[in-house]
Amino acid sequence: MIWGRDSGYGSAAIHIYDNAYQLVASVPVNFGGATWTSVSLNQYYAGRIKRIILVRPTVFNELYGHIFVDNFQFTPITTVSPIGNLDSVSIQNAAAVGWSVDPDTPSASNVVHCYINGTFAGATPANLPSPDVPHPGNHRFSFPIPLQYRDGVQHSISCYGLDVTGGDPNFLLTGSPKTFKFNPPIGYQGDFIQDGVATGWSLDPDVPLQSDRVHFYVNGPSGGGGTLIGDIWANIPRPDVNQVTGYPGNHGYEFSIPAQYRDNQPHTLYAYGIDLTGDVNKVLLASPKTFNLSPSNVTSVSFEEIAPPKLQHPNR
Amino acid sequence: MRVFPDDDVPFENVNRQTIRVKASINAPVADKMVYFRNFDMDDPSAHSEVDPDTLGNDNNGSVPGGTGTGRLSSTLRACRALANGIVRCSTNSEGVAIVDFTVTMQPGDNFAIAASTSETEINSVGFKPDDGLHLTSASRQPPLVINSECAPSEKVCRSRLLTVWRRVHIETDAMPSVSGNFIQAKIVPLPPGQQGIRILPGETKQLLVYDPSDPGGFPDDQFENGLLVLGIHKLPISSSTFGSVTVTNNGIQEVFMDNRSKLFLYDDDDFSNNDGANLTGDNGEAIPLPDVFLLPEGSAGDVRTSNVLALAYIRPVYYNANTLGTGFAQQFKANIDDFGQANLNSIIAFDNAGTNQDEKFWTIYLLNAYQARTDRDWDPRDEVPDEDDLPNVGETVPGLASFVFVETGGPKECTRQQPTFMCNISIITAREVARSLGAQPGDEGLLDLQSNVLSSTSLRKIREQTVP
Repeated sequence: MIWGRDSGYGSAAIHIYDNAYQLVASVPVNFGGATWTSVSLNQYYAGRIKRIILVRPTVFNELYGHIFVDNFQFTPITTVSPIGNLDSVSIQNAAAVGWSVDPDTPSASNVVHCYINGTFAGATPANLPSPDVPHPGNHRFSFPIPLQYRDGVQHSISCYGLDVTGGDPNFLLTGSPKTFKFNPPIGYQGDFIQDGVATGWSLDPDVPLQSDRVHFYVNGPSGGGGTLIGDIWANIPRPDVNQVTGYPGNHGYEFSIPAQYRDNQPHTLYAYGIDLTGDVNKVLLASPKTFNLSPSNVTSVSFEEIAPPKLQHPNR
Repeated sequence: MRVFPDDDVPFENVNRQTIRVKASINAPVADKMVYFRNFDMDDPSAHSEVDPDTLGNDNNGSVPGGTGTGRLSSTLRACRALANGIVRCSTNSEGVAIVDFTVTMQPGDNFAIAASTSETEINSVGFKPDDGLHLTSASRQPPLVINSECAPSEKVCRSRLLTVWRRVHIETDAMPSVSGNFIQAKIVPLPPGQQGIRILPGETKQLLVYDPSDPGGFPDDQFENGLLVLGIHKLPISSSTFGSVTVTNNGIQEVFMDNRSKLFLYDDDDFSNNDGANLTGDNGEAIPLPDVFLLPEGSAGDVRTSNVLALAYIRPVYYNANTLGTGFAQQFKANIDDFGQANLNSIIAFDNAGTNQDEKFWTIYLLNAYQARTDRDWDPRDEVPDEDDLPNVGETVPGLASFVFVETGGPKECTRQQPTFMCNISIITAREVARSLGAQPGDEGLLDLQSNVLSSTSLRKIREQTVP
């Protein structure tokens, strides 16, 4: 609420500037002479007011419109900072999840900034459905962990809820910081068990019950001149892998070298475990392997009865 | 190439449904990997109802727990099952990879196996667009050669078509020799004072007669064109009504009869049409085994122009009932008036009845009988034989027996007004066997005695049924 009195001019306007001295509103007023008159400003302005200026049109050109008013009282409305919580870091979804809300504008969604190891890592709106948060509107967030932090090393993340109106300090969400560690795939490129069949295993420790995929590059690593020649699931049962790693699930693979590389020439084969949660992919241990295969093709397909002869009706 | 997946003998307990597939590579090298993939090829039939399109995946049968494409087995030592039904096997020292393949049991189902040393290539194999008879692959858009031999440069090799055939084991039987096919009658007692009836040579006279064993009388016209026999005299019957016959004495002697005279009345039954004027009701004449001219066994059974069932991929196998357990049918009956099982059980002698419900050993009982129901045996000739659109020259009780009525469908009884196909015993026989296999009157073609070949509808039904 602003109170003003100016006996010289009945019609004027109040210009309101924010903290950055940007004009945010121009409110027509008529102080009507010597009588104290009030002007109501809405809550949004209240939180951002830095300066209030009375503009007298008749002198606008002469004085560039800025004349301070002598007599006014400004009573800012009391506001609060955002609240919220950083619940956890979901390995399955590769994201930090939680909620945040600015109680001053409980129906609006605010923004969350996250810092990993003290470095700003990104922002995300807290605008996901939040039936468990006792405020109207949508206030949950899911902040995707950038790929460079999903590297098998432990990291720390803290997130801040940003004030909607800008007048209050940002809030370090309760539950911050959280530590996390994303595990890239592990695995082993074994030997060729038979002609042109590469074997091995690969698994993602973050979701060990699922089978991951393995990519094969020939004559060079991925991104290093190699050619992708295979993309298969590592889903063959390998009890020995389960026993040694302690992880459940089926994680073995067998990959047959394509015919065009069976050319009596030496080649190298690189095998990569593909992370199921989007973490960095890893070249498997003992990779690459070399091979030198000779070409072969099927030249006949025939049938042969294997049941005992039809003694009762041999010619029927 | 074909396979008979059915049992060779009842309850054989031998797996004939699985055959071996061998793929050879271009060098006798061990431990080379060969990928096998099976396909349900398009039915090559030109019959619209059997195969209305040119696409594959149209087999009627399915393997246990699988589909109509059959199933490759990975149980052999050097084999492993992969995705999409593909099985990978390694070659032996001769450069041969071996896999087992289980086919369906329905006749006419057909398959092809593709094999390659490249998993990528075998995964690319599929039907040529709109052509389920041919396969293509990534490296070969012209269809793969349908040949058991492939050029060493080919990355995929496919087999010839493998087709399922079935055998139907037909027990042929015939009723015992004809007996009792006459009436022993008397003239209606004469009034007191009349000693007898005289019929002079050349004279025609109506006689009032009755059957002492059946006072109910006999139908009008039953003995028309028949014969009255009295001792040495044989008098043709020109007409008959309920309780009377009109005879002519064509002899040179007078014929005398009185209340004590035994008159034998024969109708014109003569299934082999060899009695001439000396009608005897075929009494004592043996009924032959069914005429299976259109259903030959052995190699002739493969010829579509010889074996009616060859179009359905079925070969007959015959068993003479006389050489089996209980032998021929139990009794002669001039007419089969009741097709209920209880009545038929008193007539037929189905020695292979124990396998009647065996899906892996199809059996049919085929009986040459004499005449159909008395009201539909075309005797007298003014009966309406096709009152329910079923020619009564044969009958089939599905799952029990098929009957061919040799007298009703024979050359004498089967009138010239009827279609030619209806009066051909071998065609009637083929029709009744087809009925046992699932075809039905109304299918047109053979089943409606319009031709001597199975219609598209009949072929479809026969190929879809699982047990006759």
